[in-house]
Amino acid sequence: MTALPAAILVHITLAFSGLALAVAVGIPLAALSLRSRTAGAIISTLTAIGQAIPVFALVAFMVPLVGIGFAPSVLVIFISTLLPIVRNTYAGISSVDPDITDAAAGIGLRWSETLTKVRVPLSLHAIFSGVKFSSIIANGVAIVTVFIGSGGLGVIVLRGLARFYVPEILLGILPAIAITLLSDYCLSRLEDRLTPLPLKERGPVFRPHSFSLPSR
Amino acid sequence: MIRMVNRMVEPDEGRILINDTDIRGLDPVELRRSIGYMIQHIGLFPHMTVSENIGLVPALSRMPRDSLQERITHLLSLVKLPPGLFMDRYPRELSGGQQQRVGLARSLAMDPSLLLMDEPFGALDPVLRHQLQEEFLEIKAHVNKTILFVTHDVEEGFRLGDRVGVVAEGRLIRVGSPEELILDPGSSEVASLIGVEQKMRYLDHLSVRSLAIPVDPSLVFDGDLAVGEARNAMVASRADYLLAGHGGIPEGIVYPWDLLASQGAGVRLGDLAHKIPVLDPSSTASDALSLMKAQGASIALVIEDGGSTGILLMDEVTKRLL
Repeated sequence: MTALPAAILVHITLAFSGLALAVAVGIPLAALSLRSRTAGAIISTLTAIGQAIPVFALVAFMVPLVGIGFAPSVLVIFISTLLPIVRNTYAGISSVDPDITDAAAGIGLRWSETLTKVRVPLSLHAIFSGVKFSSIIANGVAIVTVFIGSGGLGVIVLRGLARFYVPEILLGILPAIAITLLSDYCLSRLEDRLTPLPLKERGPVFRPHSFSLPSR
Repeated sequence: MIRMVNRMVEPDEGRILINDTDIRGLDPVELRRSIGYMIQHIGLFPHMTVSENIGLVPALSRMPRDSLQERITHLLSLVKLPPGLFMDRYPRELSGGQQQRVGLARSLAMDPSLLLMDEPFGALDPVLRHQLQEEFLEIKAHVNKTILFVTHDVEEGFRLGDRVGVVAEGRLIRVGSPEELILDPGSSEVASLIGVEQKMRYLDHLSVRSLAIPVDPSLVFDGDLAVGEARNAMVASRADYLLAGHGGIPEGIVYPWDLLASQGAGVRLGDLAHKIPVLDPSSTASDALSLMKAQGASIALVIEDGGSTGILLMDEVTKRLL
């Protein structure tokens, strides 16, 4: 019997390794798509295919290609979470007000400087909605990857399924749900911390003075 | 057209030289950092404070922190925004006019010798636009830079420009000072753009120098001349007036009726002369005409550095401008 804390630890490592990899690769891919139309079309198609393959099929495909174990499982999570990150990041950085990017180029920012100093900071909301969505997917997929030997909470769920013992299934699933919600919350907090003050919807900027009528 | 100068748009043909260097041989980023750039939609970065907006490019060019801070303070004072009050504000906390000023400060951040301005005041209301134009003229006199300024507003062009170029259908059809363009449009396109029929509108942009006519030396007589001789001279030259002066420099005007009315012997021409207004050639035509009107004169002397350069006749001015 796998100990629950150990299983939770494996699940978290698994899900967030895959997600981190997807962020590390996805955001540069989005930038590349912005830079080159051809690259954009190829990236868009490939990530869409990755997303379109059912997770079960993807898991099955992986075995003959990369074998079984923890690393192939991370790869599966990476593939199934890449698309939302690329698409959302691209949507964000490509829709920055052209007057702003034009001014940036006009005063002498390099393309890469415009990307890091202007486009990305102004697209944090879009980028984070992609990452948050992907984090939810990653937590789900990290259960299914038990079939290729990832370990983690999936082991408990699988054992419960085999024995038709619902409490054991729940023992695996409920922590996964809790982790999903917690990570979503943490990502929102992180987004809030990173977002520049004037872009926050309820920032302290331009807060009107509040007047209160004398009470009777 | 202006965007070709900093290689935001590459020309299909032809060359652009800045101080004899073909800009195609320069790195676009370095080129743009050496040229100020300001557009109608200022394009301030909304996520950065005023000082971050101004200091971004200098910081990327590795300007030391101390001198950067000093530069930002200097630039904000130059555009009349108290640095202490505005440095840490975000663009959306600023009014349109304040944003324009920050945009101007940002375009001056790298102390460029050339400044490109693409209709910078186009989107402002007339009052604010006028105020910023005034300030622009002050700053322009102060910074001593070459400024390439695009506008659709002829009035604005004449107000702000030392030399005005007229572009029609992508071709530069005329370049000259505002005066040259108003008095001699040269082509029907320029004439219709300026509205030649209403040259009177441009009295503010015309100098006395450009409207004055040279003094006819045959009409200038020495003040000691006897009235009788002067009378003969006037008849001979069929002139409407004579100028009395010394050493060929006129000092006053004498009209025919003055000569006819004076019967006494021994009266000299200089005794009859009326004082006339004296104008500085660089003052504006509208100032000159109001001065003449106030003094009831239809003729004025234009004197530069002690020597006379010409006379300004109200009739002549009217004739040329109508």
